[in-house]
Amino acid sequence: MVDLLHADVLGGWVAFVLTLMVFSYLLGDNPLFRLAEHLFVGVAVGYAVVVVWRTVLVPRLWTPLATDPVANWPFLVPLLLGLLLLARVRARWSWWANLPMGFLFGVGAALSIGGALLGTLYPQVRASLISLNPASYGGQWGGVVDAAILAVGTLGTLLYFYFTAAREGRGVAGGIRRAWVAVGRWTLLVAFGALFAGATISRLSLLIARVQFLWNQIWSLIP
Amino acid sequence: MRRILPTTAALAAGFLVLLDLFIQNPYLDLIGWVLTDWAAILAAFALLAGAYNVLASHFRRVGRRQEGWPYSLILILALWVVLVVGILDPSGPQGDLVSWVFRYVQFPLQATFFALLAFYMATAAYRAFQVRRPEALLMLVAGLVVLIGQSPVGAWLGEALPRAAQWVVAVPTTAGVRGVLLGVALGTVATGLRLLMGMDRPYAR
Amino acid sequence: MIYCPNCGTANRDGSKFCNECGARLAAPSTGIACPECGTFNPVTRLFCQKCGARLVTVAPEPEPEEPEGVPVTGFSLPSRLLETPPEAEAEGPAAGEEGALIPEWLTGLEPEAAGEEPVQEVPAAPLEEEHLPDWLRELRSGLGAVPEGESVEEAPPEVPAAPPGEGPGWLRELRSGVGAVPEEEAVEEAPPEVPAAPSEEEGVPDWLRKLRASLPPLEEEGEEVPPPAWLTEEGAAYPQVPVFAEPAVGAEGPLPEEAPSPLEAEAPGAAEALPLEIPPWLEGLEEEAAEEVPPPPPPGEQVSPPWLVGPTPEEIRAPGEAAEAVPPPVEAPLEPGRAEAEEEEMLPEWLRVPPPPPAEAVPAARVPEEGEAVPGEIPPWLAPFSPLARGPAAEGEEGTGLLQGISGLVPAVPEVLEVREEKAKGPAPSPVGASEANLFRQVLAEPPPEEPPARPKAKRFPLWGRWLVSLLLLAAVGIPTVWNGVTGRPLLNLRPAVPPAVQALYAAVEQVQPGEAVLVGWDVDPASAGELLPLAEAILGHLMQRGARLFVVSQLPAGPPLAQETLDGLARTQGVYTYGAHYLNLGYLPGDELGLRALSGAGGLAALDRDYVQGKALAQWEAAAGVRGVDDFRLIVVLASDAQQVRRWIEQVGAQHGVPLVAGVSAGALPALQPYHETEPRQLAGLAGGTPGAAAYESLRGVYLAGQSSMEALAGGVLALAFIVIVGNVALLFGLGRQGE
Repeated sequence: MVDLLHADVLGGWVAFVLTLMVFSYLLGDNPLFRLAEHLFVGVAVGYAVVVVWRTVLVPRLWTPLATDPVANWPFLVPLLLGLLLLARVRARWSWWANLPMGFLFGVGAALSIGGALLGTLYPQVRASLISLNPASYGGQWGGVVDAAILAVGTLGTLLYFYFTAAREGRGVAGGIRRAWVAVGRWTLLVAFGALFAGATISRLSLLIARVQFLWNQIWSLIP
Repeated sequence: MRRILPTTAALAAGFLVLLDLFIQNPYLDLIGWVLTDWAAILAAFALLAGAYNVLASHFRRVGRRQEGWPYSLILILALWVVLVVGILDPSGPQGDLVSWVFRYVQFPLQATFFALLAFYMATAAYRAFQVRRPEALLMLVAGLVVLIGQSPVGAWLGEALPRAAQWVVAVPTTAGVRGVLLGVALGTVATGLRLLMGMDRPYAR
Repeated sequence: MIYCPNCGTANRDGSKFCNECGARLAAPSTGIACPECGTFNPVTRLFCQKCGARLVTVAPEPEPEEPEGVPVTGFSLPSRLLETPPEAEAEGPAAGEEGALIPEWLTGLEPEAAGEEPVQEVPAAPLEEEHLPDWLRELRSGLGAVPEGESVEEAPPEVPAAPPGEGPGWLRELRSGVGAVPEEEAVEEAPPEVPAAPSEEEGVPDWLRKLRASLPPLEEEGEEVPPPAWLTEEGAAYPQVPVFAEPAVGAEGPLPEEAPSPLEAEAPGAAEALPLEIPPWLEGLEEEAAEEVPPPPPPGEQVSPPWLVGPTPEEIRAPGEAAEAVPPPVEAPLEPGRAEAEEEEMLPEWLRVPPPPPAEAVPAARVPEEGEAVPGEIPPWLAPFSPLARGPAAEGEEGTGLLQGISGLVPAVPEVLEVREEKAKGPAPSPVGASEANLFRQVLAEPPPEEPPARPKAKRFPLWGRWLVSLLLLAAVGIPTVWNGVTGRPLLNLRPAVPPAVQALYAAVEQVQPGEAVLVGWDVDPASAGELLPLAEAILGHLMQRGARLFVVSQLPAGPPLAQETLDGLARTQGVYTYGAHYLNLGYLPGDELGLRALSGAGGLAALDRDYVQGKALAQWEAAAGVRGVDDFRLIVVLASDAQQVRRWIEQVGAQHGVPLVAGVSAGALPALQPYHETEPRQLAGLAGGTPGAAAYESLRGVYLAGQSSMEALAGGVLALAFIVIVGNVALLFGLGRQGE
């Protein structure tokens, strides 16, 4: 029986060494990093296959068909479709996978359409229909300004991606359109700045977690 | 036949699921649920196909002794060890060996790979935030406000910076992202309709 | 590039299968390279897929086969030009040394009557010396060496025609009724005894004399006469020996099998018994002698017999007429009552002249071109012995010209070297196109304008710069971490700000009552665990504190083990929570929106009917009591690093059910999900992002966990990054920018 405690201790130092091997990339590409890279891919892919096999394919397809194939005959359909899908790996037989691929694309497209319409388009468009009544914002004019900025910024962003909007139109209407496109561009710039800040915090958090692990491992040596 | 059958399957399944989304009917609900469940199981097979491709490409590299083939050999060995042990072990992925490998090999490796991004973020920030135009200044200011405002530094400096950061995220950022979301949603609907009408057939090649 | 024969997609050289459709591609070793553009095409294509050039060159059509006379193979008679050069005539025998195989004694023969059909023949390949019979060899050596390699196109010497009354005595005898003996007899060994010809010996060639002497006395019919030597094995070496002595039916046996005669098939009548008869040409001679007395040839001039001369221009008939001019075959033998018949009877069977074969349709005579050699005429009595007509030239065999009959020759001009005319590409240039072409030429003639100095490329961040940045970042993050790890307390005791969205999240969790089911969408994997685990622990710990039943489902394969480890750790902290009674791990849900829709559909949790840890059905677990579908949950908590994953939950689950949905996401995904929080009703009831969100949530809970302990390190990292940005702008301000990094 494996000594779990020693296995954990050993595992901790294995993880320590592997972490340093990956950090060695800061010094440049080297064999240690490449070894760690390939080891990770192999382990990750193997683990994913194990999870899929033991938690999806066996309990949801194999077990029902093995125990009572007559009563569970509908499970034959996904099993056959799945086997046809596996033909995709060989170029000569890849056309066999067209049927399950078509089925997947059809269902996925339908779900995407429904989700986009009901989950994003309708609620977001509805949220852009603002009220300029301060009472809607607890009597705060700041709420009105914020709502106005939201609406104007949203429309400006949509206009900005409508690439010909800035060039069409003459006179006052054209001028308003061009100004609105500029507002959209500024809005996007602010959004990109905020997104960059968020991504920076996210990456720093990941680094902090690894540094903490390394320090804890070193600190564990100290009695 | 190679194109008619997949196209028919795509159109038929797609329309049935779409009807299920908008029409409340017990039969449609059942049909839609069955089709969606089968599609989810097919997605698991797609993962298997992806794993096979990885294995095959590295096998080829080892067989042809291409550059880096010893690393590919290690990849293949690691994959097979985890796969065989995980399938044969009655506990499956919860088995001792597989759990140990996940916790002390996969986890630290994957976490550290993404932690490297912080260093590249820093080197990229040196050049990306050099203000050469007024628009870049706007982006720099917004980024710094959110960055410092969300961190404890902003709270240490006072309440102004965190509140400014919150406002930037809640109003102009929301406006910009909402516009992008609307555009993406419109594109998704258009693409999905084209596929359901048979105008696009990415599956029949 | 290799173009796919199925879909036309360009693939890299060496590809075996198309990247687009997977069809097999023509490999360089099995495909045809286009001579124009070099693209490899499948062997079944005639035209290049890329440029349309023809892949398979069209071989020049062979010249139409022209009808020619019955060819004579092996033993070819010389042919000569219609217009014989004077020098050739003057040379006479000298020219004949390199010329014809015709012995001199034949040259004295009278030309045949004009009525006789000059048989056109195709000159056969010259023979090797060893293939000739001895008698012919003797003739050659006796009359002057006649090399076998003579070209039939060379002007053969003119053979003086013997005056009617002149010529060898034996011929005169023949004319006078003596049985004829074909001159092609080959006598290698002592020929059979031939009854001595009466009368004169003078002028009789030695071979004929010997022949007569060797001929045995005529036997009665039925008695076998031994065949001559040239008909036996030795003669068999020369497969084209004219077997003029076809065995008579009932007289002699068939020819030895060793010497199959190719003429047997051609001379069906040869098997019949044929008495010795005067050959028709001799008859003709007599008649000619009576009809026509050609003037004696000038001295030194050889008059060739008609069958050597060939048809005169006047005699050349149209192809249609030639067939009609076939002389009628000799149908009946001569009357035996004649003296000639007696002489004929005295000759052995094999010396007797068989009747000429039935008239065959003579192919249309081809009008020889000027300067081209004209094949000689074959006398009728020789016609039966001519070899089998050559059929159409075999494939690869030369049909005409000097090399006729020879196969396997390399074409003089290989097809690949043929100059193919350039296909006209595009229409003829119009006047407008011409002016544009002139303009183009002028532009080319002008000197190129000076290019503006190229914008200096952005230098790559120097290696020492990367090391400096890395060290700065490590120090900024590591120092607070080490301090916190060593001292167990924060360095600066900074309190994080709490955004309203985090407060809303906290409020939503606070509304969960004990025992209510909460669905947790765990999309945290090792890649994002460093950032999201503190937030997950803060929220799940709060839920456990509220006494909620937790159902965890993950759409990442590596999610379930992480979730299980986190929940087990929190449960140990809680002390009350046990797996199966208070929380369940539902495992992996494949398919992104497909799986989510299946989860939220009519089947409900049937898509996840077993737990991840022990694989038992949900119904067997206490925690799953009363939970069948999404509507049975009080709250849905989504923990994800990707904003798109949260959007899927919102669209496929939240939009279909009225269950409140909150999200704990990565700090980078937070701004992208803010619009879903800013809707009415809120699609996201609460939203927290990354380590600041975890710290804020912990501060709301009043606990100090991993989130808050990481805030000082986060502050250090943020400060370091801000410093780097400022330094970059200062460098730009002072003009260093891209050059002076």
